Amino acid sequence: MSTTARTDRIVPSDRTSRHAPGSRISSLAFAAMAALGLCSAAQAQEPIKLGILLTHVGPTAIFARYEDKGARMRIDEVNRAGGIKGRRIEVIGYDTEGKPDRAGTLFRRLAQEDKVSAVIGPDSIYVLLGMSSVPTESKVFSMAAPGNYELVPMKDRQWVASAWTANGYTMVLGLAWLKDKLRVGRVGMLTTADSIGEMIGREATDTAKMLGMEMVQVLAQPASDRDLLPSLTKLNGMKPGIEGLVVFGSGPYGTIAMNQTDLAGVNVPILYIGGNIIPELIKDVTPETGKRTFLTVARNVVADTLPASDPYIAAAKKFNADYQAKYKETPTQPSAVGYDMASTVIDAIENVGSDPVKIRDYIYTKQKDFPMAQGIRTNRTPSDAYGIDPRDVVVASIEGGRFVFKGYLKDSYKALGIKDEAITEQMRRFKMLAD
Amino acid sequence: MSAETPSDDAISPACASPAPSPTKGSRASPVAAGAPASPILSIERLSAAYDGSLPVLEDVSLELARGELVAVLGANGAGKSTLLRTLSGLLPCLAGRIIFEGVDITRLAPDRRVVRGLVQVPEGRQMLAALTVEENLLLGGYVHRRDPAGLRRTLDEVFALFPRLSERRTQAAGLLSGGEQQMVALGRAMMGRPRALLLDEPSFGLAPKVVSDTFRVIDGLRSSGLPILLIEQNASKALAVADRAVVLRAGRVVARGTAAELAASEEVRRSYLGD
Amino acid sequence: MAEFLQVLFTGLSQGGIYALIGIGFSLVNMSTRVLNLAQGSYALLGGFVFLTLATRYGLPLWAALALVLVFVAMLGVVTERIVSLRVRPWRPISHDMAILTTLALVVVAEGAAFLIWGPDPQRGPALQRGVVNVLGAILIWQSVWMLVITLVIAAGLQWLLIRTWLGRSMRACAQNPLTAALLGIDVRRVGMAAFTLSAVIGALAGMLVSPITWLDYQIGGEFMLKGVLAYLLGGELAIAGPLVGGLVLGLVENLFLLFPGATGGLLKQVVPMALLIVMLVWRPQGLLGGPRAR
Ligand SMILES: Nc1ncnc2c1ncn2[C@@H]1O[C@H](COP(=O)(O)OP(=O)(O)OP(=O)(O)O)[C@@H](O)[C@H]1O
Ligand SMILES: [Mg+2]
Repeated sequence: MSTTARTDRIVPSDRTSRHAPGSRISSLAFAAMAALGLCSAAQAQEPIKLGILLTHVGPTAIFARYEDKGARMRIDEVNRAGGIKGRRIEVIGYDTEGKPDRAGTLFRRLAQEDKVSAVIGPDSIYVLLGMSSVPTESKVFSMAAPGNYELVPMKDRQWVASAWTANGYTMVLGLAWLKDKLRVGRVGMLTTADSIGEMIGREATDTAKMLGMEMVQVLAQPASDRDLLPSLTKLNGMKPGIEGLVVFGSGPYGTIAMNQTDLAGVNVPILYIGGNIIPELIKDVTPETGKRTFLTVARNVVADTLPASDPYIAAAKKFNADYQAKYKETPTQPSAVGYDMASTVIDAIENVGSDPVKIRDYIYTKQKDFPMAQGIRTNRTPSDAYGIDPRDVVVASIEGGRFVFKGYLKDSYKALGIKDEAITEQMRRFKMLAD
Repeated sequence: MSAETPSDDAISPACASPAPSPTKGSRASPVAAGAPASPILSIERLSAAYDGSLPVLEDVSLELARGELVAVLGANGAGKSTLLRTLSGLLPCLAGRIIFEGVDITRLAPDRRVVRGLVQVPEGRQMLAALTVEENLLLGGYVHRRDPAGLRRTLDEVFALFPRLSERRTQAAGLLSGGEQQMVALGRAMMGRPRALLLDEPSFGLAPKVVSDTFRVIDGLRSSGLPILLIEQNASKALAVADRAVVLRAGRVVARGTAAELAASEEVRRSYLGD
Repeated sequence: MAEFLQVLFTGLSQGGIYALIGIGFSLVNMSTRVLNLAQGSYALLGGFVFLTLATRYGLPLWAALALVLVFVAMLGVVTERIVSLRVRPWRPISHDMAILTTLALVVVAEGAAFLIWGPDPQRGPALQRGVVNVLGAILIWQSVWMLVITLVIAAGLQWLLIRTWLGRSMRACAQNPLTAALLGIDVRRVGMAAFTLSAVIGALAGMLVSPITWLDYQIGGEFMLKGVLAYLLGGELAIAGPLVGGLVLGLVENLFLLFPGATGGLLKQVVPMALLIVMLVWRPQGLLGGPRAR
């Protein structure tokens, strides 16, 4: 593809420098010096410690696997280039096992005993919500990846930020694309019968209203249900019929809901929300369903099908290529999220050193326009710990078992004439922004 | 057929430990009490205990000859039922041997003993309450299940013996009266075509009239040549049908003799015949 | 109409699986008086082994089925051995210990499944793919087969219990194991047969549902919960009790989905448990059970 040739030359310089041949020599020299006992300032060479606290069991473990690989990939890059100012990064990894109290205890241990500079994780919102006060209390920054950061209490947000861009809300915004490109006006929704499913239901209803669409009915079934035909048949029976369907639910629930629309005769465009943006979870989506399924994704997921003119294509492609080379597997959205969690922290350490408080201050006040492997830039502030423009994701659909670029969410917003203030106001309402 | 250890001089390894020294009551040799030379069941210096408890049976020896009815008397808790449980293999023996029809069955599993023809009617009749009368009886013939025709025949015989049961064959056994349950219990044992019968307190909890009927049936079975070991608290009834009897106290045999001898004994009269 | 029919179909197909698991509980409990919580784990392990043999190793379905049944039958025997290892005729099984032991087995099975098959949900091949439209409602063929097989198994077991010596001896053991032993029944063999049979039924349930519900390493516990519920709801009446209990549970659960909006989904999760509590208070013997006699 012609885009490949072009992008190789416009890779951001801060990334490539670490792969320059020179860096290997310097690290060899460093090793030799160490071996000869020439490193006199022993404390100065003490490693920088980073904690990785992810959930390796349970239904979300599959995401953690990718996030862990992504994060370690970034750390390996730094260490292979000789560390940060000669100090290697040492990783201390723990498994939350999906238990919030265990995660809290492990976070305290990382902060107090292991004396880490910052923690990458936790990843799952369920875990984070049960321990979100711990980072504040132990004054160590948690570079987390909750898909629904808005659920984190305001008082805890100063020490917790999210690296996950394609959260529930940005996905809900995919409705704009449905309206703009497919002229969808009446939508129905199938979500999970739990607090998060309910919250996404409210966000979708509110967004539909903002866009001048009609949310006809929001139905919910337990996340453990695998026969979703009762709800889908009900949606199919709506008079007049729905023109689009929003599906929320990760894992098999989401995939099954999409596939069973065929059976229930709900052959309308689907906006899928729920984070199954990994190959394992879409491989069972039937081709007919995939074609009319739309999701909002990070750019790295659709790097191959992005227009060459995309402003962030280079970073996304570079990440994908490096990841593929290192792990011999297709990079996913969570792989990039993991990489970005590590990148954010490492960038802070490179600029202000390993002091936990300085790291936090830097991320919230100085780290401007920071490029992410997900193909997005982030500008965190104390009131906005996501730091991304939610319209900055792209729309994809599923073809041949992979994600294919369909368009930019920003364009649809422009076309529909939605004001920035309306979005900001909505984000305030959903507590994504602190006032 | 399983090959069993030849009985007479083989000593079961489990019971090889030396038996406690004999006590006053059991000093008399079994033969002296008039038992015939070739018994169908012989119990040799048997001891038994429940898990971790002190021995409940100690050094009990007893023989049952073919065609004979031997009664075992004793107060509550003397160990009578324990003796039958040990004979049926529900409880392992600590020491001693059990020889049945010349075969050492000391270590045989309970169901194998039934296969060999040693059948017990347990204390309290133990109905399979939710099953019908007919199912209870059929299960009595479980060991002959490969012979359905023979089983049918035996069932007819039992119904002939207890016509009442025939009327109630489809009723749940748990809903029968005590006397009827006793009939089912006896009939069920007959279905196993026993070669020797162990009866545990057949009179327990029954009206006097029913007790008499039951003893008539027992006497009938004895007359037909079935050897019976009968446990009873009702000593006078038991001694009336028994050939011989032993008295158990605290797990030991404290007296033995012919039914007439024991019925005449001062001690037995005082303790068990309520004189 | 279509809506109602759909809920009916879904309820019956889910209920059928609850019933199968419940029947497994019933068989073991009646023969040994042990509530074998590992019942759902047979579905978990059987289902996973089946889909591995059939999809990863490409075995023909009948061969995979045969291997799974042998494997799971052995699991049943092992469970019986573990649970009644120290049980003697004069010292009946301690129910608390037995239940705790089977609970431990649930955890072991879950851990093993996690180590072997990982955290991701998987599903096996269906007997028949596709659906049929009945008056506007959709009937999944696999669900139809699931229900048919459940009913066939239930009928077969009923026949076994009433007509065969194994069945009669199982019922005898249910009533009084000591008496059963005195009738010449090998009580341990009967217990082992019950465990084996229930394990096989559990595995069949796992294989049948996996194309619809998928399997993950935690599903053993979910099956167990629904199976116990079916069993308690229906009553101890050997086969009919859990069969009716399972179907009723499946139907009741899904009837709540007729509620408008998201309420139905929430109710669906809460109501079965509430139903169980109501039953335990007002009709502890279950829907079909007579007075609970011990
Ligand atoms: N399952 C058991 N576990 C422990 N000890 C037992 C058990 N059954 C009986 N025993 C004890 O063994 C002793 C003998 O009991 P057994 O039942 O043999 O007496 P019995 O002579 O049949 O009395 P009864 O006339 O009341 O039936 C008693 O002390 C009793 O407490
Ligand atoms: Mg007794």
